[in-house]
Amino acid sequence: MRDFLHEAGPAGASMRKMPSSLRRIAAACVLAMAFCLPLVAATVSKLNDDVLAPLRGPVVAKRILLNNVPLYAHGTANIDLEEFQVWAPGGKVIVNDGKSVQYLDPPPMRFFRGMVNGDPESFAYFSVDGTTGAIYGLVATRDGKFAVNASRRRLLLPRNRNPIPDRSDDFDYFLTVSDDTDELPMTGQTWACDVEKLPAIPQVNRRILAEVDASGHRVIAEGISGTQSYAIALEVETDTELYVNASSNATTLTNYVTNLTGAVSTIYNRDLHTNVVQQNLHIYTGGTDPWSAANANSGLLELGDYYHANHLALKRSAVVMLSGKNTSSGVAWQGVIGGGDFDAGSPHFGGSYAWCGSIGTGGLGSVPDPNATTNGAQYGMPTGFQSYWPLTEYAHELGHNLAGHHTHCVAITTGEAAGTNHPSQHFVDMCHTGEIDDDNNGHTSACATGADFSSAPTERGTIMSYCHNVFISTVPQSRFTFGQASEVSHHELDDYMLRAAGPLPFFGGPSNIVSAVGTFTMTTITAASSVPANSTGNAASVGSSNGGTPTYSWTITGGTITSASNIAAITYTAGPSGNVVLRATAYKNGTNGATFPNGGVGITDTKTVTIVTCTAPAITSQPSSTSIVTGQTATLTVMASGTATLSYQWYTGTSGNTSSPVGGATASSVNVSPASTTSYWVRVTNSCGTADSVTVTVTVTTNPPSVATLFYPVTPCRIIDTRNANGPQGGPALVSGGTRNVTVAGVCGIPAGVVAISINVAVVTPSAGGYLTLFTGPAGASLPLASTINFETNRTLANNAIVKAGSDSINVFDGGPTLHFVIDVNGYFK
Amino acid sequence: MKKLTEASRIVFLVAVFSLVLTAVAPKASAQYSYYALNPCRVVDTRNANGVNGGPIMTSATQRSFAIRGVCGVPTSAKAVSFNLAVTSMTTGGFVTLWPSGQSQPTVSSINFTGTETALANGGIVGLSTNAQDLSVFDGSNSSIHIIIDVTGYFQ
Repeated sequence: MRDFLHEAGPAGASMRKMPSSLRRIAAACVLAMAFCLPLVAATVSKLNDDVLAPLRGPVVAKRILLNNVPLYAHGTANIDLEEFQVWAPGGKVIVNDGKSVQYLDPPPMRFFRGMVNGDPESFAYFSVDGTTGAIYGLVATRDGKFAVNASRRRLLLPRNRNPIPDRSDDFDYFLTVSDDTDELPMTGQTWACDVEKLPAIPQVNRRILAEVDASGHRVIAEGISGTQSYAIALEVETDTELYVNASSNATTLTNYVTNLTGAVSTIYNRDLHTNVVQQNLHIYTGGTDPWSAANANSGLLELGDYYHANHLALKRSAVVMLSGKNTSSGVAWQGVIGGGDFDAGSPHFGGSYAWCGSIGTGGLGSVPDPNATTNGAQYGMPTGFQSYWPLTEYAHELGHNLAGHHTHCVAITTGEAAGTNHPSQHFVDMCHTGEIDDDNNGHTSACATGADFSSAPTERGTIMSYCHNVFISTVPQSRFTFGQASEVSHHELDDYMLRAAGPLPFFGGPSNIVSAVGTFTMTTITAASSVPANSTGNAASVGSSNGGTPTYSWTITGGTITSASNIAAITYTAGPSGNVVLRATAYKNGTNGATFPNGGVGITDTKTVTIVTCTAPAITSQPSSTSIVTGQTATLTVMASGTATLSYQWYTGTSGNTSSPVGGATASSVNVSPASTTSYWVRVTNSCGTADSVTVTVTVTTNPPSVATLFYPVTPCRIIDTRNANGPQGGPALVSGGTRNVTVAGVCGIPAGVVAISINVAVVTPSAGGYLTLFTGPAGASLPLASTINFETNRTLANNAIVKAGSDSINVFDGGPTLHFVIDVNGYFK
Repeated sequence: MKKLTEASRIVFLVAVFSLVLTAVAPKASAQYSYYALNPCRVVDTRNANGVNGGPIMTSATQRSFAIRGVCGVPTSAKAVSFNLAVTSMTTGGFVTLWPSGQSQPTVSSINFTGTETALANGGIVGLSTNAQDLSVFDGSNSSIHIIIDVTGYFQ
């Protein structure tokens, strides 16, 4: 049998339905209508037709913008819309009058959907009657819900008394604003937590969702903003009771149901990238219909049995019953969209069916309803929950077909909460005070019950919750949303989305009965915690045990899976920045080839991988050509920027030619001692690129003939003191990083042509530590890697040295702060 | 007493220059001429491990370096003029340089305190004919890096 959840269903099948508490609400409201009415705080204002007029015009770039719609008492809003289709190609209104069946084309209507600018939780739906030009609209925002209703035609009769042709500006429009309290009629209902708690999130089978026309050809619909989305094609059933609720007017009923589906599609498109289209609308006008069931559960089985017996080959994603029976509840099979029928406890059949009761009870609600009245006053909102109940119920039960279970009172694991903005939340909606333990303080351990809603945060419920039964003050905890991005509830619905692209056929076989299999376990995801930006071939894997080989399904954000996504170990390419979020789910196969979750539950794990932004190396300081004599060592140095770790390899030859690497030369600075003049270059590498230096040449000159010298002492004599006035033997002070060329010939008795001098060099109270390098002249000679004296801050210090004196001079390089130095000579070599 | 070729010339130079002479040259066997070189780093224990590189010198140990054949010092050189720098010390102490293969003489080539970042001293030292011709002793309680630049040689 199917693994469905509970609440007493017939014959071993369990179903989802609206709770018993809601039935109590409905009953109470019928008996106490006078009490309910004051809670409806609707205001009606006149809306200038100019605001809506663009809806009758052409659509430019797929968009229509309604400017300055006075949604709020304190201001206006802009509504961004796109045109879309509610009817599937070839769809029909099938009218059964008890004697014959007519197949009628859908009414000529145009449909628009979109959002209020700046309100990500909003949706807006409009339709334009192609015959009359009348416009109906429904706009829901965080602050309230707004219905746009056309009034009666303002017939302009010319003097000849013949009505002029239809003119679109012949309408007055009334913007009806209601606060949230009219969503449900009563406050203070006991929160009945009598529904399921699920051990894990994913609950649905993998299905391809696609729109098909009447011939069975698939149509991929375009989602809002032109992104490709999925579509589900519905057979919409009604019953005699709903026809009566629609004043026994087939046109009224057709328009009403079409607008209802349009509003549902708008919500599904926004939240699930899924278009909901009507394939066929079935209307019964002759006082008889196939439906005799008196409650939701029986109705659902009856619906499945009827379609299994009569429409087995009719291709559809789901069948939705909109019943006018006042059951105050609905029920639907879970996670079955697009699937075939299955055994729901012989002789009944289940499948992709949803049953919605109490539609239009007491008159069609405003979805929108141009004929709505309040207390007999035209243009007002209708009474009680009929305003929004049908939309809530339709979206909710169809949601069971698609996305699975409720979002209220559902415990989730830490892994499932990861990636949401409530990472340690343990329940999805948490719309009850007793469940509020958001992100700290030890989690609540059970689903809360009772009437204590005093401190629950507002706006927690989703379409898939019962949070509309929970009131904060007079505000119900419900929203027309499947949950916003990064909310736990939205995260959960990702499961539906990821499976929407699965490999199973859209339409199941006639008796695709599947069964659950045993349990198994899945390991957590193994993957590197960080990867370089744009890196390829990154690995991630999971494993399983205790039950054979499951089927895997991976999804990724922030990157691209480059291997198959239905295997245990995948590879992926990281994106340019941010995080990669890997999500793996494991399922086991049921009978008939259909995948089926592990005992009704797939196992999911999520891992977030940090993308390390990588900057390719860039050379900031090129090596320099230099000259050495045979046997000497030249130091080549490169400096480069880029993401660590930078590695270096020096080569001989011309830059770019890697045929001759220098062994061991793998640092930014290398010492080379070539026997002859040689060209060098270096390649700097990190994980995301390389940079090649320029080619430099180390010119090798033959070691000059050794000159044997003798030592000639001189009386110690100061040849330079930079503290003195500027001059050849005086200042200025030697600047940090500077080099001073000091002529030695002709000073202190040193003759021209000396080879070296023996000196004592002193630094005078340097302001910082450092070193000096004394080396051979002439001025401009290259600085060797050497030092002559090292000193500390403020330490006057001296050292002895013998310094080669090329061209009768020596050079003094300052590897410290700007300072004064003194050199005394005590002899020379010649 | 081992035969040394370093000679009175060196002794003479030490006397003249007031340089710290660390070569043990008890016997004058020859006299040598001086050949100047531009300063050239021949030993730096901060570099990667190697004959004339790392590792760092450890307290109260000695090791020998190869001076001849590097930086233009010919294999025939008998002594070099050098600049010796010490860094990374954490305590005071001294370093002794002498021709390898000889007993360590009771002399010092540089003395330092533990508060200095780096300190240098110039000097002249004889070289043995061993491949690693110059011995160095860390006479401190600290591991130290030593850097030797040569500025000329005698032969």
